[in-house]
Amino acid sequence: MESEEYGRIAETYIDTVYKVALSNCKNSADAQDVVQNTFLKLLKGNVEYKDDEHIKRWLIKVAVNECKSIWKSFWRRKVECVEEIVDGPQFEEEKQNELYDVVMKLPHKYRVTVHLYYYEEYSIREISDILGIKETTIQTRLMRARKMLKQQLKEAWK
Amino acid sequence: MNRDNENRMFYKDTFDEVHAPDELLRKVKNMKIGNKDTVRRISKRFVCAAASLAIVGLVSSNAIAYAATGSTWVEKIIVSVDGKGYEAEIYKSDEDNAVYEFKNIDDGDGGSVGIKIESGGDSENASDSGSVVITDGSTGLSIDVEGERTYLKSGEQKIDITDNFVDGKSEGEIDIKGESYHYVVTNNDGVYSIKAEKK
Repeated sequence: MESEEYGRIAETYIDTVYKVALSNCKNSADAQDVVQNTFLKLLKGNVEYKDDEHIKRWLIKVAVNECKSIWKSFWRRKVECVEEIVDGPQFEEEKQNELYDVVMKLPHKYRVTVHLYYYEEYSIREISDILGIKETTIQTRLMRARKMLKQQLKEAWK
Repeated sequence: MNRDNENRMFYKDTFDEVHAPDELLRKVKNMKIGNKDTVRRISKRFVCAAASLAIVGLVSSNAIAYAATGSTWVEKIIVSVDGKGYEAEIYKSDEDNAVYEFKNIDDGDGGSVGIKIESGGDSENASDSGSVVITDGSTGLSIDVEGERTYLKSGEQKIDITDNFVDGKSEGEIDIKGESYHYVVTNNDGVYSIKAEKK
């Protein structure tokens, strides 16, 4: 990939990849590792893409897989037990802090689904395609996640 | 506006305020194929967290003798940084709030590769070298990385364990001073931990 094009893609999509990674990994250090690994794969691989939306989905897919690798790793499973997650962002409004905290406390398989649906505005079918999971599973995850968000956030979540 | 759209606006407004750090963008844009720092990258925090767990395993193992000095345990281990072995001491100052510290690790060039580890994974002066091996001093086992091959060494004996790694772990048997030991080597991103128990 041409370095100019690589730089443009990095600038355009680094936030997208970081947010997907953060919603999955829950902490900034792991998310940053995932972002670097994802863009390294873009740099090393001969990725052919039709348009920006195509490359964006490719980056999200790779980031999700990189997150899975972290969750599967022996050390991460052990480290998670002793490591307190304390490096979340601070928001101006208290209700935003609450939403962030509650989202991060959702089971990890729900978080990325919620993020892709509510933030990236992908449809259930598109999320199913990106994550390689059945549409019915995505629907179930969204339904359960919404219920948990409502229980925790009360009136703030409609 | 329906409820789902209201929730979406709330979610988007919140996560719109989350951004990748500028330093991360700089690193990503500067990545180049073949750059060792790019391809072989270890998070300091991760090294330390992994190291602390390896030591927890070692300290709790009966295979290791420790000296109790008041409320502080002191243990000697071998820490290898990029293939060079250094004897280090671990201090466990409080059983409930474990603090492990490698002390006085001379890098052979008048410098120090000291690593301070706390149970939360925080660190000071952490090593960010490409390969860190933690083992106990009693067996003398070490890891030798030559090109793409990884060897477990015991004296003159050298076992190629490269193809034996499954999910980041390799295990088997090795003779140490005429006695058979079961070894487990774990590797995560260049951080090796070796444990061996007499059969």
